[in-house]
Amino acid sequence: MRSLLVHFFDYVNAVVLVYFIVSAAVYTTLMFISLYTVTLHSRIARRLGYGNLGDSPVTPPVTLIIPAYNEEDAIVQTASAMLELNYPEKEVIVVDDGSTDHTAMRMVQHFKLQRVERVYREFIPAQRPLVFYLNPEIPGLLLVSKENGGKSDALNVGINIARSPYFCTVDADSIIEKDALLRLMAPVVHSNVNTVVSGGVVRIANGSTMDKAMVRQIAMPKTWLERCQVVEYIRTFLFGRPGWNSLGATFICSGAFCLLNKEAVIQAGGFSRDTVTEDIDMIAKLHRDLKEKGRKYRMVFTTDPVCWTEAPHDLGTLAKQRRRWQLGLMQTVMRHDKMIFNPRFGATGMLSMPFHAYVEALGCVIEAVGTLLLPFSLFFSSMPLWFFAMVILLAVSYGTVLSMASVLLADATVRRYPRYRDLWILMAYTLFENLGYRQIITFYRAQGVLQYFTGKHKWEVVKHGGFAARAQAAAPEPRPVEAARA
Amino acid sequence: MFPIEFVAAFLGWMIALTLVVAASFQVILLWRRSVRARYFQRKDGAMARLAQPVERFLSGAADLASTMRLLGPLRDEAERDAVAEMAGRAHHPEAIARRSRLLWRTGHVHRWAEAAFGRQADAIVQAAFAQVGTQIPRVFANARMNVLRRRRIFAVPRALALHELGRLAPAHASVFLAHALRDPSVYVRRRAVECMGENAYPESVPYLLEELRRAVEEGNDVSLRTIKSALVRFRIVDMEPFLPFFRHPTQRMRFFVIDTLREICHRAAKGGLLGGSAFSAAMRQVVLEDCARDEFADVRARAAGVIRHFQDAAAMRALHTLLQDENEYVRLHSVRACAHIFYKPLIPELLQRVTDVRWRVREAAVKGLLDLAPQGQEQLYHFFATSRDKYACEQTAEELESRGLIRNLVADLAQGRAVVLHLAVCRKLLDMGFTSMLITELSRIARPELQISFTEALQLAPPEEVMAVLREVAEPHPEGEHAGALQLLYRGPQPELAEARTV
Repeated sequence: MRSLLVHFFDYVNAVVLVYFIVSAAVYTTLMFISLYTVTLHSRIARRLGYGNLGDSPVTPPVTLIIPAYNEEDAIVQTASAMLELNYPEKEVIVVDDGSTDHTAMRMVQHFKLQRVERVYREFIPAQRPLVFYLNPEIPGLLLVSKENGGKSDALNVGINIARSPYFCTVDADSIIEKDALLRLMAPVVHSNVNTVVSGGVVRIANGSTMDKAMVRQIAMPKTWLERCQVVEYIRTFLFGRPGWNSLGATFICSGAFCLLNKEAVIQAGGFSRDTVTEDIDMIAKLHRDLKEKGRKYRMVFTTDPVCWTEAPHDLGTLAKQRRRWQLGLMQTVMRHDKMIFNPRFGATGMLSMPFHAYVEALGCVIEAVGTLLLPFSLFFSSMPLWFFAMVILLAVSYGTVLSMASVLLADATVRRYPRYRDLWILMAYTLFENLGYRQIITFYRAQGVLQYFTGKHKWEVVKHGGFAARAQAAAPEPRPVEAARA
Repeated sequence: MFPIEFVAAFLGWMIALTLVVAASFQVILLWRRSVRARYFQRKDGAMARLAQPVERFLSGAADLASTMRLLGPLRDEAERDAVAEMAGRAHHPEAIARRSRLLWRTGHVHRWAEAAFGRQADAIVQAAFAQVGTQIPRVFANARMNVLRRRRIFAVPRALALHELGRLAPAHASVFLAHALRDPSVYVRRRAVECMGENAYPESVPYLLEELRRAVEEGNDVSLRTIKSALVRFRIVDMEPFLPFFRHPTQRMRFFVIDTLREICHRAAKGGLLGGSAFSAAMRQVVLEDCARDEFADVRARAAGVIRHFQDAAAMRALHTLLQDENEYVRLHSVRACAHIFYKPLIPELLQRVTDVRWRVREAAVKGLLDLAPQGQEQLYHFFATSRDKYACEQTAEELESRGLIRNLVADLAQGRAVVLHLAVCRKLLDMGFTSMLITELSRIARPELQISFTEALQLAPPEEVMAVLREVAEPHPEGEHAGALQLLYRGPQPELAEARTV
């Protein structure tokens, strides 16, 4: 029996080791690619700016679609910020997805909207809107009310109403920097291939000072959980996604802030209503549809347009969020499994799809099982103590290297933490994040995978406190010199 | 399998390596911060020290020799950047010319040119500062090491240097920019194109048109949108080099050229009055004779946007023809072009387009007619009140709501203006179910007797919202004229309103 267990643990350890080597090799490659591309892009973005796009008639119009479900605390602030964005031609469509709170009423009262009748043309199947509201004096704003049908359905309604060739999905609880839309559009304007997706960075605003729907002073949050998430977000957005983008294999763009080509999305059938992460699914759908039709296209990810979001403050909320993300990732990779290792789909099919399927989606199960079984394998003497200690040390130090590299990247970009204190905290958490937080997240993700296989495919609602509720006292405006250097 | 000692040693080395890498990242981060902090400290000091002589020179209060004496030798990068930044704040053309001379003398121009052009820098700087006001010299290419030069790591410093050179006085900058168009890297060429647009120096137009031609015919990694963004910043008088391209054999080229001209006209019209006199006779002729009759529909469509600004009988005839075009996009652009007071005689043709089979054309026609107020608006109201075309009426009703014109309609009714026509429009809106805004506006009228009389006049089969409004009117004062409010709702058709319904 003991021999059987020893063999079992040997096999498990071997699988964990292979997983570790493969993921480490890919992450190291992505790290070097990102260090190269992100720093160079930051130099260009910082010095050259995007001023000439802001007043060019050639810059395509954009529709900002804000799906809102029970967002009465944040919606007015978000819609106001969208109207204030620095962009030549834009319209803002807020889709109230059957909120049970006062989301629509807040909008109507604040913007003095009036109920109107509109001709609704359906390009993508979606629930019909019930009511339209607008204020003739704010021609760029439209509020649509419909029955609850989920975020995907709300986005599809927004697409049906949108008048621009591009639309940007924005979460109702997010804050977008004033120039972010322009920065997101820059790769589209500069590309001579049809750019169907342009994604930007999402950063955590917890701890930062907000004023009038803008982040005035960037600072680290107070709690360990939020700090770990800051490091994690920086790592994901500053070297994971730019790395894949450089390889021409973008697979994830956050729906909190993503620019999409309307025609391409309509051709792909719009956002799927049977997935919990419609943004990941949409990218895979677009890859699949455009490759199958033999179209030339491009997806880009840029590191200087920033969208600020609120991270979960407690483990319960974080668990819900991560389970949902993992479930969504599983749904996407399983639905589009024919792309995996299919050379027809280029770098996406040969590199990022297999990586996301086997390492990102299923890998967390191996990681979780490995983490659970390591002590047992030690107990059954399947693994010598020194080996166990060295493996753990290597895993932690390697994780720290990756996080440290992303902090280095964050400091090279436009939006860095200006205070040394925050920098020290950030550096400390590149280590602490690997001791506990990472393991917790792995278990939540593994739960998400289990949910997929047990057929529990429901959306777990993550309730944020809202920026307005948590806004700290408005800090003074940063001095012009600091602002220029930030 | 590997011996255990080997595995142990390997793991040990890996751990050591990762720790060293993590530590070096940390050191780089802190070193970078401290270097930047020192740099900005020195730069701030230099700016405080050198601001006055630079500003005096830029404003013309001091000459170059004395300014150079006051500046002294610039010792390090922070001081050089401080001077460049302060000089870069000049916006007036004269100040920009002075800035160029200053930066040339301080050695900035040479430094940037060396970064951008390497060993060719001296020759190009000489050409730039000797060729002021003359033709831009022929550019020459350097094909050596192009594979490496194309790499982003080498191209970004060149693009940044070119960015600085592009901000010199346009006469000087255009020489550098023209040379940069032969750079192997897209980053550098894109920046050159953008700077050409920002400077809008007329002699750059042929270079941009050549880039456009390459983008259309041969493939150019500088995008069409980038080139077009640069071209639209020029003035109409700079567009003479466009003329041969209006008859270019490639239809896409013809399209991009006429579309660029349309954008330039649009931009010029925003800045003030733009009339036919702004265009040369040759330009007018080629647009009216060739572009408006081009076999490619997109060229005809964009030509309408240019013809709009000619504002003469020939333009009227051309637009009249284009409004009947078989292609929907031509009709769409022509309808938009007619939304100008000069083209009021084309209102009947615009009304025809309100019933177009394509909704975009219908929408543009409705908008155009409303822009041509009061005549166009009045004609549209007449049409709306009498038409049985469901789609045209929906489009009109939607636009009346979106523009908030229902408020004006109700206000006019309240003041007794154009009562018959406006009542007919309101009646039609109600018949079509476009009730929300109308009811809101009716409920806002301060005088209840007016609300009652409107309700009576409109002969509502009232939806619940109207009932609610009327109840609200009646309930506070159950006696007198208010008492009749609800009763009025259920009256039968009034013979005197037949006129309103048959406008």
